[in-house]
Amino acid sequence: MITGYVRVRVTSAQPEHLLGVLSSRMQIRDITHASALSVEYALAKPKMAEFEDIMEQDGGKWEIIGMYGLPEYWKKAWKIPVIVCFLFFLLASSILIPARVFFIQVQGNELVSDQQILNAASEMGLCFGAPRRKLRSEQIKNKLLSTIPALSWVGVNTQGCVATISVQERKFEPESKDETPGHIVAMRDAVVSSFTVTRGKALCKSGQAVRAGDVLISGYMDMGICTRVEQAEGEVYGVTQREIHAVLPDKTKYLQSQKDSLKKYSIIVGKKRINLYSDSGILYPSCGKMTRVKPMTLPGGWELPIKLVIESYTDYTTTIVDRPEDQSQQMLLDCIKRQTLQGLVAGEILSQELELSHDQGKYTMTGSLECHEMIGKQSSGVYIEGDTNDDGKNS
Amino acid sequence: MKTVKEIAHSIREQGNAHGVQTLVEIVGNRRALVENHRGILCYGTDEICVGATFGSVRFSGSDLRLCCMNREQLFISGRIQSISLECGKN
Repeated sequence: MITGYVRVRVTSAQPEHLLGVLSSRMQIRDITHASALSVEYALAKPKMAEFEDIMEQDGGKWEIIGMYGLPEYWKKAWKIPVIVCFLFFLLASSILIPARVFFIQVQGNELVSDQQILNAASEMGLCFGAPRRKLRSEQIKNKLLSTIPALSWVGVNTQGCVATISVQERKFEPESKDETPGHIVAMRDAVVSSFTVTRGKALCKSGQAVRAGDVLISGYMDMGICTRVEQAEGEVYGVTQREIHAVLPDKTKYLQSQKDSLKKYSIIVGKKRINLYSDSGILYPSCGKMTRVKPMTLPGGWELPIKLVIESYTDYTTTIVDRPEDQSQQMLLDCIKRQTLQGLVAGEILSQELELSHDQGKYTMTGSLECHEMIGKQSSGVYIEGDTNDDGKNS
Repeated sequence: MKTVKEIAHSIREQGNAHGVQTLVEIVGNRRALVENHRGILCYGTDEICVGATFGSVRFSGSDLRLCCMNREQLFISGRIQSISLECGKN
């Protein structure tokens, strides 16, 4: 099969005798009777020269009926362009693909993003399709370390068509506590509800009303034989009142789409974009645009640098409508609560007294909120009594 | 009492002692292998006559054909109805 075989039809006066002569010199197969004097059989193609010699001596007639085997199939395949192209593609792929990098993965990073690392690596030639032999891992490593200070170690390895960038991020030590002497003072007017002192001396008690700026925990401690000055620490909670004034317009714009959305397609190959539409793509002000990007991926999650971009354009008409009162009230209330909670260091809203009014094209919500929150904050600089300079001012 | 194996072995030994003998192996009635043949004497779909060291071996049946043949062996397939050994001067 590998060398190929030939099927011949031999006409001879003594076909049996000829069979014996041929079989003594070569192997013949599939012997069939075509007629009384003709026999067909197959023999190996390399034996054809010997066969021709025997037939010349015998004097019989012979003809080739068919040729089979791998060489014949190969000749037929060469006549089909698709197979030829496919074979060339296979050969090129087997030579080119292992010699180039097509996928890059990043390992070991937590705070630094993959994209940041890949962008820095691409500046040194590590990108899709880069030849493996031209990659200089030391240069890539030095570039990454100099570009991204958060990295303490970088390693670049390639295996097949995959390059792996292994990184180790720098561990930042937590900032040491500020040991500058200071007090805990009140941030706003409140009635103290509870407090916890971990360092310093408490100057307030539960139920006491304090004003903004009042010292709640002092960093100055009289130890009897000496005076200890340090940064006060602790938590002081109190009940506060917050005045609220929120405004919302009583009219709003409503978008209504006129017709079906129009879709435009683009392809991004690497960093280049190919628009598959003819016009400029500039929109009217009344259009809304939504963009979806679909990357091409291989099985296993490997992403190729080819993306399909689908832009959907929808033409809207804007209508100005009145905002309902209940909806406006709810929107104002949600906004007030959200803003208040963001402003609290720690705490909650206990109660609210709010009023809604509608006047001069706007809804206005005014009132007050009662909150239970942490009111203490650290302030640096401790004032030590009796420590004055020559002009009588405290130092 | 000799076993079948021992008898078969002694037959082969006797054959080798008298030179290379023609060996016919039959598988059912469909296939036959002839070793150390002396060529094809006649060939047809109903009858194939193969030369042997002792004379000839005649295979009779239907749809007989030679599948493969070389200097030492030939392989016959088809419906074999009878095999006859004909002694002659070889």
